[in-house]
Amino acid sequence: MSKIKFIKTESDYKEALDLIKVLLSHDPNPSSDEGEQLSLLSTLVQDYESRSLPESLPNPIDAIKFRMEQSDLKPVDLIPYIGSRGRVSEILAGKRQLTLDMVRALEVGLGIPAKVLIRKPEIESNSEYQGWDNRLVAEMESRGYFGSRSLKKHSKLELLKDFFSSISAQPQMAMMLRKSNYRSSPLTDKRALIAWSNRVIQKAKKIKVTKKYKDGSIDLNFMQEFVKLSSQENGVILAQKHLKDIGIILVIEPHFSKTYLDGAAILVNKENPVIGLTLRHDRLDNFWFTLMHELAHISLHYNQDISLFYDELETASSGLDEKEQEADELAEESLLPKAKWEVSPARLIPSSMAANSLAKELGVHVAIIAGQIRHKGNKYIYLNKIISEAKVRSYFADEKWNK
Amino acid sequence: MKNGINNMFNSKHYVPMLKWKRAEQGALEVLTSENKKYITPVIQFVMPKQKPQDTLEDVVARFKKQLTQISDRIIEVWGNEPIFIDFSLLFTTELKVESIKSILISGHQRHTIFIPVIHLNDEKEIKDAVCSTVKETKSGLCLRLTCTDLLDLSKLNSDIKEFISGYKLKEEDVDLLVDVKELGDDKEKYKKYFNLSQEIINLSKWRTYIFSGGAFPENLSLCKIDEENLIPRLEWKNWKEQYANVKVIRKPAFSDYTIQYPIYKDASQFFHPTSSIKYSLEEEWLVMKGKKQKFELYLASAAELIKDSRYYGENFSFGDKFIYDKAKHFPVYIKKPAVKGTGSTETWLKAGINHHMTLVATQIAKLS
Repeated sequence: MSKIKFIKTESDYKEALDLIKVLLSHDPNPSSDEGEQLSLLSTLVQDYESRSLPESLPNPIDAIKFRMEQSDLKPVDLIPYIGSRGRVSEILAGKRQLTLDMVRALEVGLGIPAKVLIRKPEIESNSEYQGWDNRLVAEMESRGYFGSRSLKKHSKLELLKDFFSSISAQPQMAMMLRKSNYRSSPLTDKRALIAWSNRVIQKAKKIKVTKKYKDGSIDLNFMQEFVKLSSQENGVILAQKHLKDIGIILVIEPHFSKTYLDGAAILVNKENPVIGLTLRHDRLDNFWFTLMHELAHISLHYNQDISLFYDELETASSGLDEKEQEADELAEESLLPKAKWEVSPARLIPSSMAANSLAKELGVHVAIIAGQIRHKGNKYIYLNKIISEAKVRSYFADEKWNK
Repeated sequence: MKNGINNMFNSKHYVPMLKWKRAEQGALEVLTSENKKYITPVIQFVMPKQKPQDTLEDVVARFKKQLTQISDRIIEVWGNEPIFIDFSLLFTTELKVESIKSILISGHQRHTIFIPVIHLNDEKEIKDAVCSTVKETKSGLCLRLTCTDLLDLSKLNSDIKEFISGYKLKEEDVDLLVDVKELGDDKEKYKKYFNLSQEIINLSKWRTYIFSGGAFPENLSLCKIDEENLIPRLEWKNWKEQYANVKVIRKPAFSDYTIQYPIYKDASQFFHPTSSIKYSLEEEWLVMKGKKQKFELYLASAAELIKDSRYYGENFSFGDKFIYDKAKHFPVYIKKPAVKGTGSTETWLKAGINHHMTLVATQIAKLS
């Protein structure tokens, strides 16, 4: 029992989920110590989720139904996992709750994560949707997230449920949201991030990609060559195309008000990772840094158990977790190698001439170097002219940009 | 070209206006003889730097103490070719008179041609000292006119007539230097005073006719560290236009204040200039702005400058070689700042002025 504690942070939460997994693998008797631990942990996880994580997910019944549909199963096929035909029918009707035995059997037999199955039933999910901030939902509506449907004619609950169910692999979405790495301000509404990433995935699904991403395709060499596209007139568009050619989808979706999201790497579908960028700052240097940061996540963290990296890159660098530090370092190295920076006159004098000559030497757009000079030297008052002249949103004129 | 006192130079010539200070002396000293052929400088004596406890008398005494060595030093840096010497920035009439006599005679004794510069409104004692001395040295003299003189042309011409006849001079023995000083960004000022100068009495008779001015700013406050600062060399642009103008009565020789502001400020002011490189280009000055007392920025800027296509190359002048050497020192310095070798305000000024004078001499030489 010593490992069980009240869940206060994302890290506590992840720890608890890991412990649940371990306990489930021991198949404990419900009345045993381990069984009690499992029950207690489930309660604590549910409590944390109800406080911290928005319920944008299907309830357990939806998850089972989805898997039945996906695997072309009939209710009778669930008998080995749930019990009698009558019990299956009661479970699917929401009249009876799943037992731990059923959860274990469904996770092992049908691959439905226990974390989804132990969630509270529909009625409580609905209440979670009800808890979404009305302003956020209104913003989603104004961005066209609900298509032609409006809050005047439809309930918030209805619109949100439909919006999130628009991604076919809903249980995967549930998993994805629990496997997210947040580099964000504590004040950021995580629901807004989830809505944003759902939209990015929607957009990505509409993009036809023939190539599957091969793990290991992205490394420092690739990134250093890739960023040279920036020196070309339409480098931003070329970059998008080049990524598509190696199976990575780059999607632009503006950020939500009161969030500071710059981008995200979405590894839900590992065959085609998605990079979402908000272009929160209409600046080429930001575009390239964020893009390289997300590529760095794909390069470094592809095989780790994280589906989604949300990056508010202006979050104070102190206290960043290891993965974020690694991604920052690789991104910086790809844009302006440390060995070059160490001996560059730009280290001492943040002049346009220094920025230009370094950019020429590295074959990249001068705004990228100007951004790096400002960042590395902590000299943000300099090189504004170069930075402010190199815009990026105009390449994505179809998006609704705030003026 | 300079073939003697009666055949000084024509309009294809450069007259840099320089203060007699160490950086300027150094810049003159390292000019090549090929470039010197196109150059006759005006050197202006300035008072030694005043220390906090100094009285006026102390400073004057200090200047007097070095009087006897000045002509030797001039010959050391410039040789025996003619050179204009202006005493107007010295503090007292008595000091000016003493300096005029001492330096001019001393130069004459050393077989050099020191041409004194005089102003119409100088005190009679000064005019007397100059005119009586040049009778002995036979160097002739230079009459320097300013904007104020040109504003009333009839008075100016009458004053000139009176001065020439009063001292029994001939225009053929007098160099006419019209100096409009600071041009700022007033694009019309040069033309306005140039046109007025064309109406000076007996313009074609003067031994030489020189038109001077400078657009280099008083300070670099408008220049930015993080942007390219290009300041138009208005005096050069305007002079070239007049040089090509077939309608002018007489074409002047070119004169400017190199990479300095034309109005001299007393050096006693506590002032730390920024570590900025001022590099003259064909039509502009490129200012690579630094920071006060951050001498290492000179090295960083030099390292950038030599990579720039506008850099003239290490063999162009002493100044360019200096920049090149400092640029090459940058990688050493950045790894180990304790090695120093950044150069000082004085050495960088010397390099900048030397490059500028070399550039102008080259530009003049290229003119048809």
